[in-house]
Amino acid sequence: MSNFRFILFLFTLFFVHLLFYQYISVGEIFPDLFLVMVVYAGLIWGPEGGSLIGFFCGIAQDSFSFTYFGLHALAKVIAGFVIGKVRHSFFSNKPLVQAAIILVAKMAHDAIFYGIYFARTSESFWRQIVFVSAPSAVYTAVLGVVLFMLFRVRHNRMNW
Amino acid sequence: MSKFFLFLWEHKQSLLFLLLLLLCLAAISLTGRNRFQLARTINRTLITPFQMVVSKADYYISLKKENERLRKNNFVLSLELYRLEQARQQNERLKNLLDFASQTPIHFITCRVISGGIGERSNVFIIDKGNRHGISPNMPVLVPEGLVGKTIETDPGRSVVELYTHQDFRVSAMPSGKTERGIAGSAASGQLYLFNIPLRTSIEVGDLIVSSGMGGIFPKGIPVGVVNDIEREQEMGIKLRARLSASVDLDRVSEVFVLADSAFVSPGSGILFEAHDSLNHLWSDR
Repeated sequence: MSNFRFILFLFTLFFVHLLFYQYISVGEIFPDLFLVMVVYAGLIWGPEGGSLIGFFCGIAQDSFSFTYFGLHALAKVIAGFVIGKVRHSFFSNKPLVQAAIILVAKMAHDAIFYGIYFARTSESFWRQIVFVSAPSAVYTAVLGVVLFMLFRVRHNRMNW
Repeated sequence: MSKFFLFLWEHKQSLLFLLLLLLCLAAISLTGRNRFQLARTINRTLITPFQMVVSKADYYISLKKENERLRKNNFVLSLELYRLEQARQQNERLKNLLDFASQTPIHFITCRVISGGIGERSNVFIIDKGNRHGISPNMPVLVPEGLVGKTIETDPGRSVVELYTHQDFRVSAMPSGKTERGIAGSAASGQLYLFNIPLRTSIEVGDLIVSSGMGGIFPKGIPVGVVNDIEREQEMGIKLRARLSASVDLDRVSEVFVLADSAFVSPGSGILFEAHDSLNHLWSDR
C-alpha cells in the first residue's frame, strides 16, 4: 500500500469514526476505529507514527470527555508506541494476525483507560473489561481488518 | 553541542514518546475550568463543524420521510383539533365560572442532538441551539419520558448537555407521592442511583423517582427512573442507595427540550412552544 493510499485509509477511518460513530454500533457494542488507526500507524510508521497518531486521535476523543481530559490520549499514545516498537516481531500480512494485534491493543488500551478511570471508585473494573471491552475489541478487530483489506485489495487491483 | 543534537536524534523515538506522555499527563492534571475550556476549544474547532454537516444532511433526509407521514396525520388531527377546540371553549367557560387562576406557561426550546460523543464515557450531548436561542448553562434538558440532563456550556449556536450518566451530574430527587429525598446521579460505571437514603425508608422497589425541585435547577416532578433494588451505600454504611432503571434511554434520544426561562427568549424566534400547565401535570397521567 502506497503512503498516499495509507493516509487516505487513515482519514477514512477518522471520519467514519467521527461522523458515524453512533451508526456503526451493533447494539451496545461500539468499535474504536481511532485505535485501528493507531495500530496500523504503529505497524507501518513505527513508534513515532503510532504515538503521534495516538495522541491526536486520543485528544479528539477526549474533547468530549470533561471528566478525564487526556486519558484517551494517554492510552492511545502508549498503545501506538508499544505496537511500533514490537512491529518487527509481529507484523504480518495475514488478516488473522492483524485482527489479533488490534484485539490485544484494544484490550490493553481499555485496561489502561478503565484502570485509571475506576481507580478511586468501588465500581468493577473487571466487569467493564469482560462485558464492554472484550466484545468491543472483537468488533473493532473484525471491522478494522475488513476496512484495511478493502483498501489493500483496491490498491492491488490498480497495480495489476 | 553537536553531541547533544546527536543524542536527541538517536533517542528521538523515546523523547517523542516521553513528550507526548507528559502532554497527556498535563492534560489529565488540568483542573475544572481550564480542562473544560481546552476540551471545548478542541471540540468546537476540530470536531463539531464536521458533525454539523452530517447532522444537517441526516436532518434533511429524515425531513422528507417525516413530511409524508405528517401529511397523513394532518387530516386526522384536523378533525381532532375541531373537537378539542369545542372542548377548550367549554373548559374556558367552566374555568371562568369557577374563578380558577391561570397557571404560568412553561417554555421549551426544541433542539436536535448533533453529537453524542465518540469515545468511552463521554456522557455529553452537543445540541444544535445555543445562547442565541435563549439557552444558558444550568437549564434542564428533557424528553417526554423524563430527565436527560442539564446544559453546562453554550456557544451562540450550540450547547453542551451533561447527561444523567455523567459522573458529575446530580439532582435532588424523591419518590413520587412520598416525602423522602435523596440525590440521584450515576456511579463511575454509568449506573443510575438514588443516593443518601436513610436506613429506615419507605422507598420500595418499583417506586418512580422524580426530581424534588430542590437545588434551583430542576423543577419538581420530572421522572428520573424506577427503583430496581435497594442496597447499602458501603459495607457497614449508615445510608442506603437505590439502583434505578432510568426513565430515558439515551441511545434513542435524537431531539430534546430545553426548559427555558421565557424572560430571556425572543418570542418571535419560532422555537418556543408553550405547555399551558405545570410540569407536575405534564407527567401526572403516567
